[in-house]
Amino acid sequence: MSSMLQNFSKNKTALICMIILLFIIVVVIFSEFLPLHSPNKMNKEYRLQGPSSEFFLGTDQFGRDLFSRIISGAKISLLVGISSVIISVGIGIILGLIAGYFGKWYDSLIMRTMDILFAFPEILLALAIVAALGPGTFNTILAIGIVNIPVFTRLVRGSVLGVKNLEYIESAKSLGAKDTRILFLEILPNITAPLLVQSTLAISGAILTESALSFLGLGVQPPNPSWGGMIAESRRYMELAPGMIIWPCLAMLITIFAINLFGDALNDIFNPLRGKN
Amino acid sequence: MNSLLKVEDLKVQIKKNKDVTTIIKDINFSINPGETLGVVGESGCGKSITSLAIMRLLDKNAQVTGKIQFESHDILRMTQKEFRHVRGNHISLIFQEPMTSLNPLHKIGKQISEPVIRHLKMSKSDAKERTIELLNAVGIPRPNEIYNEYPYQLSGGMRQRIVIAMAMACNPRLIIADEPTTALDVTIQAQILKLLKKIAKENGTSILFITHDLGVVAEMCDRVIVMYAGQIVEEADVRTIFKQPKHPYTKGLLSSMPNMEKEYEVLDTIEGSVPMFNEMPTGCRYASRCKLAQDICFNREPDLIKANSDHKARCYFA
Repeated sequence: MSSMLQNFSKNKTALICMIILLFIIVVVIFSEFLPLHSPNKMNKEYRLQGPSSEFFLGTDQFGRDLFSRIISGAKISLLVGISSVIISVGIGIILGLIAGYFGKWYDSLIMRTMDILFAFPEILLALAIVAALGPGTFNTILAIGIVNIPVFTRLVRGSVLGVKNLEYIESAKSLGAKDTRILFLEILPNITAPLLVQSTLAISGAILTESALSFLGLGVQPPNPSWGGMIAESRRYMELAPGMIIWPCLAMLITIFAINLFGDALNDIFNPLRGKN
Repeated sequence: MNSLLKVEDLKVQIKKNKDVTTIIKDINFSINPGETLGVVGESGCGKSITSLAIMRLLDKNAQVTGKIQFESHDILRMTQKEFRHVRGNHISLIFQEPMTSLNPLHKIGKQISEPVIRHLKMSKSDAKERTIELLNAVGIPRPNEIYNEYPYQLSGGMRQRIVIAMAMACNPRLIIADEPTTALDVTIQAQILKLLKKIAKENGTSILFITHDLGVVAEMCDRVIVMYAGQIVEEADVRTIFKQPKHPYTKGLLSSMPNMEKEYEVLDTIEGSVPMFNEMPTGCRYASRCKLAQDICFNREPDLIKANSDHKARCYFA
């Protein structure tokens, strides 16, 4: 473990990305204590302004502070990203373990169902689910969570197949361990590395999907700010106040970029042999 | 004397799609308390399948028939739950490959104390004490520190000691050792064999010792079973096997062992190869490689014939 941490601190990309992500998370958590304007408060006399000492990044068409809206949007994005991935990882682990370990018709049933889910383009499936459940933050989380289940089920199943015939699993069986014990205490810890990497990458994917849904008006509902929604609103005011579209895009870009590079770095740390040739 | 383990007419068939292949058949043997029984034979002759059948660790597509009497119960007729109580508690298994038979993510201490807590219902602190005791017994230095270390920090020989400690944890009555020294170098092999022998003697544990190394058999075993192509071809005590082998296959095996006192151009070998499981001959399975083979050998399968009270061979000319 300590050598893993050492590897980590040596990997500069990982370190920088982690600092950026930690910074975003800390700002989001403590945003209520920061001296910011309320994200939903309208100031009619300050509409579509550029950056000033009063409004750090300027204002939108209702005179709302862009900076506090972006931070609020970050909160939503992280919330949706992380909780939807928790849903997909949780369900994916259980389905993948069952399919990989027990095989036979469990495997066929689960994996064919996953194939069906996989057959739809991600955004289309999310759209369909949100359309069925109705728009809103919670339903967005649920939809993105469901869309990502097959990715994790496949990943877990594949890893289980690689591990389950190793001798230490047989050894655990020969010592009288139950199936549940073998699944969760012997196999699961040995497949966490790919899971962790995939989860990180899935978070950025989920944030993008959330933005896309909000852009289309099916995700987070106004007046609550979300990056996708802000970009959608800004289209009409692009020439008047370019900040309205630039800042949310930039926020999204930095966040996604940091998460993806962080995921890649994690991958390098967990698979030190990969890509060295 | 009542035998500890008695295997009768054991037969294992593997079903694949609609083909049924018989892997081993007519396996009959018994092990007495405190006895070490060796099972020898070349790769793929069914040694490991036999041991896995006894532990019920075969895949679900394997059909096991016959009777495996352990003490007063038939292992094949126990429920999963009943048998889980036997596994690791009364019968335990030592694997061939010490590098992969320990879970890389659990500490040594946890891996050994787990079966103790499970089967003997010990408290955690008692289990820790027992684990340290076991580590001492298998000759691990600094047991208190090793307790908190991970498998990757140990060498192959040390890991095999850990595996033996795990197998011994609940004082089983039978240890099945499936080529426990094959993956180790010769000096470590000798140490591990000595250790197993000592443990068996001290606790009165029976060992089913599976190997293809005749030298190890001579060192370890009281009685020996020779397997060929899924059948037992000869059974005798260890002296008799080496001094007066009856079956031509056993003779062939023995003569292909290098001897220090003889000068060789080329080592002796047995001509030909083992028949495939799906195309077993109707007669004696060894006939095609046997120098003594007559017409009868190709037409009718010989039984395991008693040569004298403790010596059996599957050959018409034994």
